[in-house]
Amino acid sequence: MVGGRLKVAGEGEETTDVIPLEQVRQIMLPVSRWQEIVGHCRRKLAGRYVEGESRMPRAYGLVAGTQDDRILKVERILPIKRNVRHQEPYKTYMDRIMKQYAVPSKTPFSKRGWITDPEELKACYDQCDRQGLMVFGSYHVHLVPWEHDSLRDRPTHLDTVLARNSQLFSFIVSMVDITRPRMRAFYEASEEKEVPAIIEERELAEIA
Amino acid sequence: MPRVIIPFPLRKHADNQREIVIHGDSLKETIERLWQQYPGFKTLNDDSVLVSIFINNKLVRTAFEKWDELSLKRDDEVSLVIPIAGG
Repeated sequence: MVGGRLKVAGEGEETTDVIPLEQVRQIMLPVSRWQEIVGHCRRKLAGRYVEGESRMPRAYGLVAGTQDDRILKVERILPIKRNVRHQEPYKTYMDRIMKQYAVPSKTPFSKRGWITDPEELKACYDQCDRQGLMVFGSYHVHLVPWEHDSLRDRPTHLDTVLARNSQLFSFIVSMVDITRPRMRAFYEASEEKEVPAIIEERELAEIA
Repeated sequence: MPRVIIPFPLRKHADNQREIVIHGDSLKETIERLWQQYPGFKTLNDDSVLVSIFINNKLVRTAFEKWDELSLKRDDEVSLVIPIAGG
């Protein structure tokens, strides 16, 4: 598909020409959307949970919006509430993947990893379809500095394995310093496919 | 005929269509025909990929297993979702 134009349509919408996501060159993030991501991550890390939310110090969600040629504009952030990582068959799946690809850290494998609840995910996809928005990425937070990666603003090898062929951007939110969150965007969580994610307000610096 | 709803991240495999109408009397037959028409979906038939299958918005399978047990009616809606995961 590289190089060609594709047709995409939401529910009840006419088709529109779009460039494949792997050819996107920039992601524009309104400051209000960035604040939603940061707010979600900080709330979870502070142990404040909303009803129906898995109680764990992790935050992740979906990023949706519109595309104008090679630029994506983030219009909606959809925090995901539920984590099915410890339910079967997801537990067996994730335990196997962790053992195979995760880098050991001070957090045991059994306490690492997350998987979105498919029913919640489908509801989010349906909602975005109805609103004519593309779900073009997911975000998740990294907290713990590693010896060889003090900022943790890049995907882990495990992130890359899990995002392979996902056709989504992975937005990695670093909160190693919770007062100075930062975020970078990588197509399919591949370090070679980073795309600048830029906050759309002059007083805020480019974040990638 | 059953309709297969494709979530945005999988639409690349289906010429970016949201919905595909496929003749099939069972989930197995419908999915196999989907693969024949759009071979990109075959990448989902891999034990490293978890695929959730919904029929009429009800989650019925979390993998391509035992799908031959499920029959479909002509107006059923089948949706495929791959859960997003991270480490």
